[in-house]
Amino acid sequence: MIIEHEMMEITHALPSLKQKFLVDLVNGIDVNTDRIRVQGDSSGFFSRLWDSFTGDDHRRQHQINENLNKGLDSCLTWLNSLTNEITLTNNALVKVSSGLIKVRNDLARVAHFAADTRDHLEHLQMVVDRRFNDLEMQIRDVDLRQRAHQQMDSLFTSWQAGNYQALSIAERVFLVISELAWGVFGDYCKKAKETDRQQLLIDLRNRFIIQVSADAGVARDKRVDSNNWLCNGPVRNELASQYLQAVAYLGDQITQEQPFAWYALNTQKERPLTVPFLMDAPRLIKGMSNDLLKEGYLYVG
Amino acid sequence: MSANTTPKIGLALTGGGAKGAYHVGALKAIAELGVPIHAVSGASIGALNGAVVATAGNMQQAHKNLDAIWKALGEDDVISVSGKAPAYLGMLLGMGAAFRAMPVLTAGFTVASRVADYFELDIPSLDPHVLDDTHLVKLLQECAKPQALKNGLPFYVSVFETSGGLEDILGVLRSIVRLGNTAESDFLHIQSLPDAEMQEALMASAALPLLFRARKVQGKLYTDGGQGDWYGVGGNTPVKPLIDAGCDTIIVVHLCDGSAWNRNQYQNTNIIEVRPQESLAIGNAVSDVLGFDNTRITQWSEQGYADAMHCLKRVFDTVRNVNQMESSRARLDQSLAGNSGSEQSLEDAMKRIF
Repeated sequence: MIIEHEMMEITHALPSLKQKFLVDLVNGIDVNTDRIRVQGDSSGFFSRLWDSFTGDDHRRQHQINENLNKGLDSCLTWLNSLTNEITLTNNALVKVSSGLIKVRNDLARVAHFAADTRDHLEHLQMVVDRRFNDLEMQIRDVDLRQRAHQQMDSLFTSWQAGNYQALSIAERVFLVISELAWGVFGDYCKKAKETDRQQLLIDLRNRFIIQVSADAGVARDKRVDSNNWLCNGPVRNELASQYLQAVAYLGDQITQEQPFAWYALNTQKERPLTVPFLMDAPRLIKGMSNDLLKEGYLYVG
Repeated sequence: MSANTTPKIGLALTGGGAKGAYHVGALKAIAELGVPIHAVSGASIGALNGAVVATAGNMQQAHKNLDAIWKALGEDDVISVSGKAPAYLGMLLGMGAAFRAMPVLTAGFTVASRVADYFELDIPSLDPHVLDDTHLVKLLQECAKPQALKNGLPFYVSVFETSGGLEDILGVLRSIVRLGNTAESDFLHIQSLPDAEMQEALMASAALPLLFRARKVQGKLYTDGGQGDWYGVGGNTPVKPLIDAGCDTIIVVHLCDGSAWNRNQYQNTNIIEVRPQESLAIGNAVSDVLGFDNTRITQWSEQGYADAMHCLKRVFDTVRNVNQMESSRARLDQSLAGNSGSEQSLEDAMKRIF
């Protein structure tokens, strides 16, 4: 049976002329084996006599010696060739090793670089996160302030539309302040910076002064009877009753410690001494503000 | 060696009578190893085997044909021996001579005849053509037809121009005792011969002097080519025509224990000799040369296979290993050459980072 894989490989196993020394070395072993065997077999008396007579013995020995010498020569050639190959391999290994060392060093540098980059990225991430948080907070603040203004605008628009006519002017102020305190406006006042809060409250006071002056139909600095500010509004109907109940509910925690607010909600009771008989719009707003603002914050109840 | 520089390989089949069965086994090993053969030469029985190899088309078929022929040889009377021959041969064996081939035997026979005459022993007179090769000729005509030979591998046979049977024998005897050497054999390129002479040349190559009749080729009478260059065994080992034909590697299959043929005379050719690693002798010298029986044929064939496989594989394995080493070196060189490019690339990349 034909050994197919050997057939496939035979073209890679056929010797070239430059490999003659290899063929002579390897095949020379078999040749010498044959001759040495025959030499050993010719040990009988007549065989030795015949071989000596014909010179075969001498010739055979010469051929064995020649082959041995040639084999040694081939070995030397091969040894030199192998030595060259090993030298080349060693040089290649040195080169590969040097390359490997360089790659390792470069890799270490890259690894350090990567680690540094990671640290920078982590730091950057922290900075960016912080910036984002700040921005988010700012956006939230802006949004809150915006909504606070919207609430204030909405309440004053409602006021200007005459929705609070059932209430006295002071009650209107109390109602609006209460609505603002419990709503987004109040939240914003709690969170806003001092300057922003103060500015907002100044705006609020000014709007109150403008609005109450308009409601009362008097000039800003015109002092009038306090009852004009504090007494009930002219309209008394079902809606007015509901407003009054709502105001009463919102103000059930108001004590005489807050005289303007308390008296505005309890006009049938005796006027506190701290509430003047005559006052202008700023005084009314200042009094209500003093009652409902604590330490700069909008405070109700 | 790369695949596209396959060497031109010749196969030289030496002579040795019935021991030619050894060639069958050697061919089996060559076929199994897939060794491509580009030219064939043969001497004596090697010429007859070589004709089958040259015409087979490939080594697998060559072995198949040879195996079939040699099995048939083992069952037939290939060489008919006259009634007188056993007496000759028996007497020769009684001399106990260390003969290496049939010519020696016949030379001994000649001497023995003279001795017998001197002592008035009852042996036949010297009678050329003691052996009848009719059957062998018939087999040859079937196996090696001229047209097949023409279409086959380049084929050379070793023949020896005879000076007459007795003269030839004396020449051999002189060579044996180193008083001279026989003339060189002629190596005939079979495909260059006319059809009618092709088989004649083959038969001439195997025509042992005195035992077989000489054959006429190109106007010359030829006998066994093994007689040429007796001292250097050049005629019986037809390597020269293969070298002349341009072969750079030659596989020589010997049929003789401890052949004196010297490979070192060819400095520019790879010679791979397949030599018997155990003795080929089974019986006595005569019976081994003329012993075309199944037992011997099977044993020699098996021995030829084992020896050829051993000798060839040793060489091929070594060459393959060396070639692989050279190939790996080439890959290493290539890899190292590519290294510089990658080094530069890495260096450039590092410069970009740092």
